[in-house]
Amino acid sequence: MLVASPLLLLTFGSLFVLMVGLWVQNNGFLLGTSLVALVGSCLMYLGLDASVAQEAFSGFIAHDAFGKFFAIFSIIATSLALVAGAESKQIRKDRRPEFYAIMLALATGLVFMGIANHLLMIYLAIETVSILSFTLVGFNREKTASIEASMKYVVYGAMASALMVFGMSLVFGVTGQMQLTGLREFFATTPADQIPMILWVGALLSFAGIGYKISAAPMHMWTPDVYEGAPTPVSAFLSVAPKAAGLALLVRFFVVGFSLPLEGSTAAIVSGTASSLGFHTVKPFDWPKFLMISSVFTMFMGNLAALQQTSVKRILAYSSIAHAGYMLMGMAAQNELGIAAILFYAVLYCTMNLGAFWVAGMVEDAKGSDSLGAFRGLGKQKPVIAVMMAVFLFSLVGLPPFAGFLGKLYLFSAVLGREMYGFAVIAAINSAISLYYYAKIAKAMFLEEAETPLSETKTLSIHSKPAMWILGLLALPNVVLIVYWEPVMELAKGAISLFTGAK
Amino acid sequence: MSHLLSWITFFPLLGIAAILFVPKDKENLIKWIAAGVTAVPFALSLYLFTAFDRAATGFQFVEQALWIKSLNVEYHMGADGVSVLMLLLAPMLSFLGVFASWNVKKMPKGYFTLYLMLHVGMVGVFCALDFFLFYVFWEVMLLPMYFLVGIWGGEKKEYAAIKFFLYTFLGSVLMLIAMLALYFYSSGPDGSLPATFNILKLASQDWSQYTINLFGYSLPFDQTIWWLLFMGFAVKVPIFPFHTWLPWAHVQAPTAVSVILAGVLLKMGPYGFLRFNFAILPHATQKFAYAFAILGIINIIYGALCAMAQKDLKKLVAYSSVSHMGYCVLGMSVLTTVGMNGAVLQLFNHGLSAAMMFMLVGVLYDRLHHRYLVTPDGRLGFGGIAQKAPVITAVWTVAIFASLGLPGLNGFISEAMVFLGSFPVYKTETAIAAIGIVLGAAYLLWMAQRVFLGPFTTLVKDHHGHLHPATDELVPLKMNEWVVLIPLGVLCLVIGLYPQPMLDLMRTGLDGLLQVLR
Repeated sequence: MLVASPLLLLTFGSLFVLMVGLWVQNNGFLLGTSLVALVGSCLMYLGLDASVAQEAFSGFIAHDAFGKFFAIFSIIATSLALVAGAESKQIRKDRRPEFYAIMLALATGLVFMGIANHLLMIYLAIETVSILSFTLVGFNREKTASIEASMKYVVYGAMASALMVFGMSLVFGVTGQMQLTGLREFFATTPADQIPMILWVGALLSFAGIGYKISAAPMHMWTPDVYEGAPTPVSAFLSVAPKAAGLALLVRFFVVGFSLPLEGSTAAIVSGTASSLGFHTVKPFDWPKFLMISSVFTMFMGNLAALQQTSVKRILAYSSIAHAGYMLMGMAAQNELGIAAILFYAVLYCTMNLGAFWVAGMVEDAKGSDSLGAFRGLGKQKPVIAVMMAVFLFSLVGLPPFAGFLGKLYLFSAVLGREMYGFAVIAAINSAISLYYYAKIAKAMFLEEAETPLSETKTLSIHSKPAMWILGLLALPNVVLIVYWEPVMELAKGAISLFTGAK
Repeated sequence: MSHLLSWITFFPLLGIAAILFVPKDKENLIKWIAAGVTAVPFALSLYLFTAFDRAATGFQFVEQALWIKSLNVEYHMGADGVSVLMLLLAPMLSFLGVFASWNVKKMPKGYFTLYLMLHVGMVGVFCALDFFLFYVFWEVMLLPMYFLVGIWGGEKKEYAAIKFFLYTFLGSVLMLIAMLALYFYSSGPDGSLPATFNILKLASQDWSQYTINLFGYSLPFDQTIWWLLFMGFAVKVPIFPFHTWLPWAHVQAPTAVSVILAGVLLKMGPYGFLRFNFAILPHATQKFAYAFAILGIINIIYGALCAMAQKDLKKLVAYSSVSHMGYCVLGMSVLTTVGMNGAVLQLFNHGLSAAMMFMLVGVLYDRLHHRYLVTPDGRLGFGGIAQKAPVITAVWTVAIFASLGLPGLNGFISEAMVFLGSFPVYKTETAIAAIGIVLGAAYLLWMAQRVFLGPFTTLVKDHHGHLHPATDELVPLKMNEWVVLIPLGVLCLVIGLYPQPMLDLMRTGLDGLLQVLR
């Protein structure tokens, strides 16, 4: 039960803030309490030993290094988004308590997505995150755009959930298993020709639900409208934390549920003692190929659609779709390097995308718009913020020396290690396309003059000290990681040792 | 001296740190810091030039350390004869470029910060012996260049900057794929060796035994990789049809950045070909040598014809670069000692003469505020400058004659060597390429005639953008302009008369390469 203690802390934190927020309107106190709950649960997770893979609550959740990695990641990402929300004007003062409470509950849902080991648990975790996200997106209920975004999100979400539940029921109907480890045992013991085709349909329909969370094509349509309409700190959060958690779920779903170790017995893999360095898919279900197709479409959709956008939030929304495509490369590569690359990239992506959205939110707060026009001349008005934004953007491009390059390097390596040259070339061309729209923002900031010069009285009111410090903290790894990044990659590799058995 | 190459590469970072703490309005201090921190690498590169052992073969001043253990990435720097030559050119132009930027008024702090970052990238490229390290240096240079052209450039700077950026980036992501493919295959057919990015180890392997599968087609590994690498380097050379960024970027860039672009950045393309395509994939190189030669000849003729048609002085110089880089490509393609030596010397010579030409275009622009050979309404923009400004004209003459290959100046030696090398191999093709020499003389002399000779009819552009006849004397060359022009002019002359030290130097690098290629 020790395993559940950080989650309990988060849940109690959420309820506490919600209740106390009814009487106490002291923003600092509530923010502090929420952060204490988040930091506390993060520390508790750090203290938990996850070197041996275990299952808890009758196999509903798994406790392993992979889950721990994503749990800590989700909590940190939530904390950053929480602070961003507290700094932003877009979350009204009197609604802050609910905002904090929802964020804490969301963190719980995200952690569950990372550790869910049972089809029901997967469904519950995704729904927890989705429903809470719907409310966050519609948080500015005075703004039509916000409500519209929320509505769209609900409709797409309901659709995706329905498909996923239907798919899961098919999987259960054929295999009689709800646990992912159980699925693996089923495949290990059942000959391939005795498995009906409908099982694969079920698996692909389940992917709909997960693909919706990471906004992979063709379940990406909601993304730009929702990110544009939602309060910017919420968009920033949605583009990072649920996406990473969705990827974690995707990895666990396919790699634990629908793969077999190359050598050694299933039991050895489950207990983490197998010596094999890879896995192969359950024959004849070639899910990596399917994910590859989804990845290619996702990249092209995101990058091509972003070219014509004039709203920075929409550009970043399409860019986040494209990045889901890049990260799917790691899954399509179907090797341990690919999965480690996803983890590595997710961490870097969190810093750069959160940073970019944060700056977009600051500019929107100060100038009332997030169009490219609002970014004109930012390089002169706020050079430090503009330079940091440039770092985030070019890191998203994957341009050395910024850390985004390292993430792409590993993803490309994973794909090329499997000799998928055509796929790599497509991804490379996509990177080059993406340069255009990121550079468009940089161009507005540095190469163009502001339309309306900000007078002395109306300077950008974004000089809040903590915000600047956190922005700096997010920019720092993007700049310095190129000097020595091995520990971060080792961390990612350590977290996936469960799947590969490599130590 | 230990870590000489690292010092030459990274010393300007100290300047960046210093400049960040200087108040914005102390412009002169910023400029002197930039001059100081680029002077040190320049001095060190002179030391490198003298201390380099010409009798020995292989790489010298090697620094090697394991950097990223899990990927086997090394911090591996070293120089052979070819890199020493480039390492003489790049820090020198980087140092002189500071003086060429002396009258930058707009945000000098940002300008020199980016300028020094550019130095790190472009000098590092010529030292790196690890493909990963090379790639990082190669890309580090893009961002400063984008902003230097985009912020401090001419009227169409935004378009020019993004065009340069997109072309180069597309080329380099394809190079990235080639890099990773070489890395994975470097573990040998049975996977027994550790995979490596080490250029020397990559060069010692036989790549022709592998095939790869691209979209269902089975292709020879080395030839496919050769073309992927080709894309990366051809954009930089630039080889037709990947050259279209060049006239934009060179024309729109501020003077000093044009000098660096023409003088150093274009040299990275041929250098990359030598270091990667030629040294690592010799079989594929032999196979594609003829195609390479044809591309070179197209560059020579096409560049010269385009230059002849230009109405903008700077564009003319930009297209002349396309033409001159064609000689390098042709010389490299013949895979013989004379041709290769000629090509590498041509790299160095073009670095001098093109830098000088761009500087001189800047000198005229500074005084007359326009670059029209022919104005949009059909008048001649310059004319008879020799009468009013004989000194400027004299320096221009040196640059023009160095560029068109007058015997006694540097261009002649290298172009003659290229043709001497290529004629025994491709007779008809070389004869066609030789037309380029005539065309080169034609557009340069025609330009000289229109700009400097005849009655003084030069126009000047006023603050409102109107052109009217110049009445005043042209301001004579200023001190900072002399600082840039004298060393370049003197070197043009010295190499024209006595190229032997340079040839001795590059031979140490090229001999080994030629053995592999035969």
